[in-house]
Amino acid sequence: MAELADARDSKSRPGNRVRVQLPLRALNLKNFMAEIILNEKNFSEEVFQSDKPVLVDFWSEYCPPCQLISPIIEKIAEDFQGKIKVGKLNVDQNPLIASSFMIEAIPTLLFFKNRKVVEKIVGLVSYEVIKEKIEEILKTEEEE
Amino acid sequence: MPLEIKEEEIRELEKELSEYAQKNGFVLNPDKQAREMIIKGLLANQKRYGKRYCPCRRVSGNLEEDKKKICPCWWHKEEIEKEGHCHCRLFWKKDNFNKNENNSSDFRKGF
Repeated sequence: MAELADARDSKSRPGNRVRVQLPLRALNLKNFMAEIILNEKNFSEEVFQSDKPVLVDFWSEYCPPCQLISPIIEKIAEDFQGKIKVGKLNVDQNPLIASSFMIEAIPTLLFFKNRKVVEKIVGLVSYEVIKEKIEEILKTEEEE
Repeated sequence: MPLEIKEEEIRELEKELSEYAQKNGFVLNPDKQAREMIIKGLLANQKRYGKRYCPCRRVSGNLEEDKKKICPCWWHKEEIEKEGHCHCRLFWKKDNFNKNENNSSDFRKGF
């Protein structure tokens, strides 16, 4: 779902409104904008042009392990906000991207750094497992 | 547009899968919510793609490649043996879960 905002266009006549397309964000009342909804249009910009490591959760609607890992990913996004970027990609709605990364079983978590996949987790895992992977990635980044 | 899945379809498939599990020495996920979600996923894929593909495996569109993903999938027995359950957690090894007082599985255990 796209978030649209109306902004005044100062150059146009008073009262005119300009619709501005904001980046898609998963609405989260606790921590607004913690996760990014990724799709085929914004994937390159959000993932490959990110200056931070990116964790992408590949998921599908009827997959229970995907539903179970979702709050874990949300917590990861909150806890590591500012250090990494976290995105979610629905594989049914974005088949080309899923296939380009050879996603077979879901959930699959891909960890991107400097435009490359540096880690991969397939299946339901705990918060601790994901946290450990992220900390390793951040540590090697500091050492570089 | 959301797919319509009827209660009787869920029950019918659940019965079929339960019989299959029993015949092969394992059980269906005793967590009702999880079990029904997976079965709905199978039925949704049946309606979308014409085959009962596992809801936790990506359907590539290549019929030959996707054959393995039709439930019960090609990997399920090996996964049950190794992990105690198949990837989507529909089939479980008998006694590989702890029933709490609400009689639900450890589907959510540790998470």
